[in-house]
Amino acid sequence: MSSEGASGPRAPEARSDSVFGRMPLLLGEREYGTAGAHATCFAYAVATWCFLTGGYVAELVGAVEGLVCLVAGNLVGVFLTSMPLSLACQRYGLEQIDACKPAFGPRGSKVLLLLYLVNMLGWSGLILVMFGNGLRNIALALGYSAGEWLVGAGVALGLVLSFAIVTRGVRLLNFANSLIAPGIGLLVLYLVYSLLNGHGWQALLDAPALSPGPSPVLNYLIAFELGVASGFSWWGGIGFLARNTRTRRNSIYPEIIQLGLASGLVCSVGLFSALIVKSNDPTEWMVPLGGVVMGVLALAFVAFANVTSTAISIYASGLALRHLKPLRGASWRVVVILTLVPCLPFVWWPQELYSLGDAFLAYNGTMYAPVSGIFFFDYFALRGQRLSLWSIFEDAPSGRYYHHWGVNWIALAALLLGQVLYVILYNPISGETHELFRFVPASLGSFCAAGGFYGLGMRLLARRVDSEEASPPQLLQPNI
Amino acid sequence: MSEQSPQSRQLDRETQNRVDELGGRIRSLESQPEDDFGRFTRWDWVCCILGGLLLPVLAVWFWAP
Repeated sequence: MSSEGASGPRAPEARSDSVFGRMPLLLGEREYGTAGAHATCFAYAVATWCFLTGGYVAELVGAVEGLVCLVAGNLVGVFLTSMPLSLACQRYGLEQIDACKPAFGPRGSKVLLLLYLVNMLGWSGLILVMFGNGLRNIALALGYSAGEWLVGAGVALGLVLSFAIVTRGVRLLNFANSLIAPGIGLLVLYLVYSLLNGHGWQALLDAPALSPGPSPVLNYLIAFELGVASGFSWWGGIGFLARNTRTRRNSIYPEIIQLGLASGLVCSVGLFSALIVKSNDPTEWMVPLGGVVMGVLALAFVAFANVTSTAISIYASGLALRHLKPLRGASWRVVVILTLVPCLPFVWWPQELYSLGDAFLAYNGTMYAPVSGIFFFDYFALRGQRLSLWSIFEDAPSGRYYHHWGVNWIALAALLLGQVLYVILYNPISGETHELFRFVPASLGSFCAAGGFYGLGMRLLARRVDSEEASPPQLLQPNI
Repeated sequence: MSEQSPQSRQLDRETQNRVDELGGRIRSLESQPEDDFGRFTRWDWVCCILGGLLLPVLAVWFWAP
């Protein structure tokens, strides 16, 4: 197809293929101006996982400290992960895995795909357990005492509903999401009203953390770490948002304001609710705060919201799996089923896995802080904000980003170093911290160490990282 | 030379169409002037670094127990 053809008006199915597939998005196809970008980012930001994050932070610190940690942490995490990624994805119309191929290589970027899938499916599982807990608490509020089996059955039902939504297509998903975002916004306002009207600001200030550790400073720093990890966990959604914006400013400011600031504030409402109700489970907040009728209605809405949030994660994971060669031509149903399989353990061990949610949240920082550090250095310092689209979609060894056997081993070593350093500073599973953690937050240390190691390694060892080489006029082994 | 089945010929055609489409998109994006993608000035950088990094870190330091 000629360039004129590619930039001219497109058939709806071709446009859908580029918007929801991997084709670079042309300026004329991008949907978001300033208002659209803010609205979409806000819709992403106010999701039910904000309540989970707020609940986990409530275990460590009180209202004011938690508010500071959640808002500041989200802002820092979103800033560090979105600055290079948004500018690259916006300029070249790419989604994030493709944008990272210059740094990691075509095969090396599969590691990012794995991290991305762990992130999306982990959140899906946690949200499905929240859905199951919601069903159980609705039954309890209506006078039926159901056992733990109902939670597992709820997870299974949520998986079936997600499958039904995702395989029916994007329109149903978008329609459901257009109802959910304003609904969650109203629910947040309702929670704030119930908290302030029923309990008051002083009760919030006096409410102690649910199960803090012995050191107030460490509790505070871990809460900040959870906030930063929550910000970093937007890594998976940034490419889709940024590539759909028409200007650079629209790709950055809405993400920092909505995904950072607004999301941090919604997380804080979750924190306040958890502190007052004395439970980190969001499905246990609604009835005590709003009474039986309003509580059950709110719970039913949250349950619905959880299914659509899961469907979005499953949809994004399915698209990501299309990067794998055997699945490029597979039917969408097969891809979706493969995406759902890793969520099955949540059917059998819902509460056990749910209780690991705070560790999983922190693990998002472990995964994405070094990746963001590497890409930050690669895009701004090494490549001067210039990428070769030809080489990104080229799998042949002659491609500029092929590195060695399709992998940039320096980037993988930097990623490993960053992850190890993170776990040394703060182990998300055991909760142990190093003495240095008091001075260097784990995610920031990991970000800087991975970026620095990568930059040094590329300067010293890589043969060529310049962007002056003439672009190849054709693709030998296109990876589309 | 082995004969291709109708399905594999169809698949090859689809793949070739996608590659052609990709090539057209790449040419279009690479030839577009930078200003078409909007500006991001030093002041934008200052605002983002202040709001996304410095002020949050200062707030965390200020409210630390």
